[in-house]
Amino acid sequence: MSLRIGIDVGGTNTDAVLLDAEARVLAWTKTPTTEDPVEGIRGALAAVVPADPDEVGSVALGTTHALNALLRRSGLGRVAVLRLAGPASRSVPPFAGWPAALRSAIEAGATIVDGGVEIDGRTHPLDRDRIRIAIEAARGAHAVAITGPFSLQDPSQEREAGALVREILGEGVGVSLGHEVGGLGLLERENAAIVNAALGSVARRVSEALGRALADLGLRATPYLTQNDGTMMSIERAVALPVLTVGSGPSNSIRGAAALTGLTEALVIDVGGTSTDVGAIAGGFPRESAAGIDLGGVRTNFRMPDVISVATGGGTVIEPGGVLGVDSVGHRLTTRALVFGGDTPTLSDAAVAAGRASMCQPSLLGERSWSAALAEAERRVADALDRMKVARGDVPVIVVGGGSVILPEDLPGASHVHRPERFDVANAVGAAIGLVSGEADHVADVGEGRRDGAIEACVSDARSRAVAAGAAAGTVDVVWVDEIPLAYMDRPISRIRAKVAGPPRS
Amino acid sequence: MRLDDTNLEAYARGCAILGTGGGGDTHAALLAARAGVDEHGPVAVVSLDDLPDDALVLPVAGWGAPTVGIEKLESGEEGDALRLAAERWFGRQVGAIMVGEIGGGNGVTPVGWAARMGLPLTDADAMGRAFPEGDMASMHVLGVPAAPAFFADERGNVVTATPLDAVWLERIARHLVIAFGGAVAGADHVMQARVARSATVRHTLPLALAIGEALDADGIEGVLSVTGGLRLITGKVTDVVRRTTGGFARGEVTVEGTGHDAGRTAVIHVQNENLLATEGDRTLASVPDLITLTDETTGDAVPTERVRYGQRVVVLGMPCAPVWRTPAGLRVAGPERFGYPGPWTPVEGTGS
Repeated sequence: MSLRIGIDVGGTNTDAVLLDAEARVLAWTKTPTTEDPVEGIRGALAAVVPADPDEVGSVALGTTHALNALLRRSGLGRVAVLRLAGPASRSVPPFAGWPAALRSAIEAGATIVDGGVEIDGRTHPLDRDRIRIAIEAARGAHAVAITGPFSLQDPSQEREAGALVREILGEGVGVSLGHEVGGLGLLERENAAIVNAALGSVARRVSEALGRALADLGLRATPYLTQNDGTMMSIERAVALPVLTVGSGPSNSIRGAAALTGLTEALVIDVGGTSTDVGAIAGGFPRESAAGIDLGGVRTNFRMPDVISVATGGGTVIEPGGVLGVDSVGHRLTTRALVFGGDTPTLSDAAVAAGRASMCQPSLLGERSWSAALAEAERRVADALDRMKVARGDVPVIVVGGGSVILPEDLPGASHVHRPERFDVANAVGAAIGLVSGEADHVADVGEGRRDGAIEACVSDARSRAVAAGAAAGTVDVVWVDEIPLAYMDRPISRIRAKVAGPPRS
Repeated sequence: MRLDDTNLEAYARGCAILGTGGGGDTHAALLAARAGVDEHGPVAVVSLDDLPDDALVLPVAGWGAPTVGIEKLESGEEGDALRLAAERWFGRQVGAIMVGEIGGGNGVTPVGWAARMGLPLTDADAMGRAFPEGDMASMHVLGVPAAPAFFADERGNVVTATPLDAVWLERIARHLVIAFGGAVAGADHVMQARVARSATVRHTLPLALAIGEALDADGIEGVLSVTGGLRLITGKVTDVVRRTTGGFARGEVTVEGTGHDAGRTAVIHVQNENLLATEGDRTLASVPDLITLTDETTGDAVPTERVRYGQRVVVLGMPCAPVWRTPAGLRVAGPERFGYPGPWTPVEGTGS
């Protein structure tokens, strides 16, 4: 049971690795991503599964399915929105500021009912009659998204309304509660809950595909999905909280790069076919972005890895005159690039011509070279690298990803460039080594000796979330605790956040 | 000038630039203003010169902690509740609503209120920027009484107070903010248009719109030409220190120069707003002049709570309204008021 499998489904490739208990890569594969998730996942799994499938304790899947569904507006469920806040917040109705096309693909009604929690802990009575009417009117929707003010501090009203949905509409309708998916900020949390509700069926489809692939290959390992913060959660939880998986791609690469090099503080460059992501590993976890996250044009506020993307990858097209463009041949690299017998010069061709890589048929390039395009690619990546630095001076840099051959040995601003063996499947390694995490976000009274208790309550809440997500109880460690004091209060009140993580239950 | 769906976003971007890092979130305020304008039609922005001498002008603003403001959003009825309270007190109708603080979300929220009330906004405000305290208003400097003051929450609670001056107003408001759960809408320094013409910071709403439109057309250069401001430094945020004392979010942001500014290092001192920019012993700009960090790529203002390591920023220094450069104005909102050494020097004399 000591072996672990990680799978990363990207836009271009599906990668998988088999790791031993020391995180050494025993087997790996890289195959083109398929339209049908079952087929792609099963194919990648089959290539790495050991002779005795019972040796595998866990299979973790990172996938862009949910993100793509949102960006393409396909396979989304229809969502009724219930906000428990009135009369507050009536000035900004649900779905305000959404792109019209996405809104019309998702919206199945929106109601603001009286209720809500205040920062000082007071609650306003819920208008249950209006809630019942709104829920009756939501018949036919796939899911209901429920959000109230300060629900991170007191989620009882969201839970009560959620229970009413189940009572009236039955278990077949999804329920997405704001406090489970979002952070502070009512509108952003509500948006996260709506997107989460809309992704329910996509998440079910992916988890069923994973379950079926495991069964087909005789694997009895525990399945997990990886999430935005570089940790993973159980399948049941992933089906309930799919929005937490939309940013897992970059996080898996960052965690994998760290695992392959043993570094816990470094910048990570992941070069793909279309783009390059630059992220940071801090204390062994991906550094998170403080800014609001734009998801398909919708402003949300759950935390995502802090990543800068530049439109430069192995498939980036070199335009006539040797000028580097921003478009990529993407997954058609193996038919369109010159070294593969195609007609389009790409950065991969330039890398081969410069002797940085050898692939397919270098002779097809003849005497041509594209040094200006390579220099421009290097400049773009070095600029992103510099933006991600938190202090002056050179820092260790880890380069991973299939397209990373386009980069030179050294990079400006790097104290050392690490290129781990199996750099091309770092994302799958990152998935395989995932810990199970939990986070809590409280607003609490910290006056007169209450501070320690408030922090402990927040950490304890995060721990129980981690255990609910599949962590082994008793092995969950604190990753960070953060406290921000609030102004304009009659007593000391702080926003306290905690994140904990631990290995999965085996 | 009128504010409608076509120019509200530009206006809000301009308010964010005038917010000097504070003044509250403009995002939710913009959504609320849009909803108000969509439902009730555009808002006319009128010059004080075009109002009758005795027209009653009602300056409005939200009080409270930004953290509460993003959870407990307005019902939209607060402005009307303030208007009704004022009309009951004065026994006559309010002629125009005035933005109390043009900087940040407080510059945007009253647009939605005015739309719902069907009243025009004056093209003036009380600050020309954002300030952390209620007495930092031009009407206070110029001797307009603070009383009567009106407060309204989203549920229909209304409080009328008659503070002796703007300092008492600030004390009373702080306690009301707590009683109402961290946020409350207020109106004070109510005056006739005749008085407002000389007691307010004029033409700041058209300025905010012009800033937003210039930002759209010409980026940061456009903002500088509209405001008469300077680039204090262009560079990268290399250090952010935050702490909360006395109800203020204090801190320092270090910006290391890049490009033409390579080798230079500036420090921005923050107390809710950006108040002082220094380079070594030299002052680059100081409150009451405006200091705003803008995103090097988009030109958008970066609020103090969103500043992070590694961000590429252009730090703008912009001259404040003339009222703040008078001895009385500097006593209320000069560097010494915030605990920084004086004397104050104008940004156009100190800038790089």
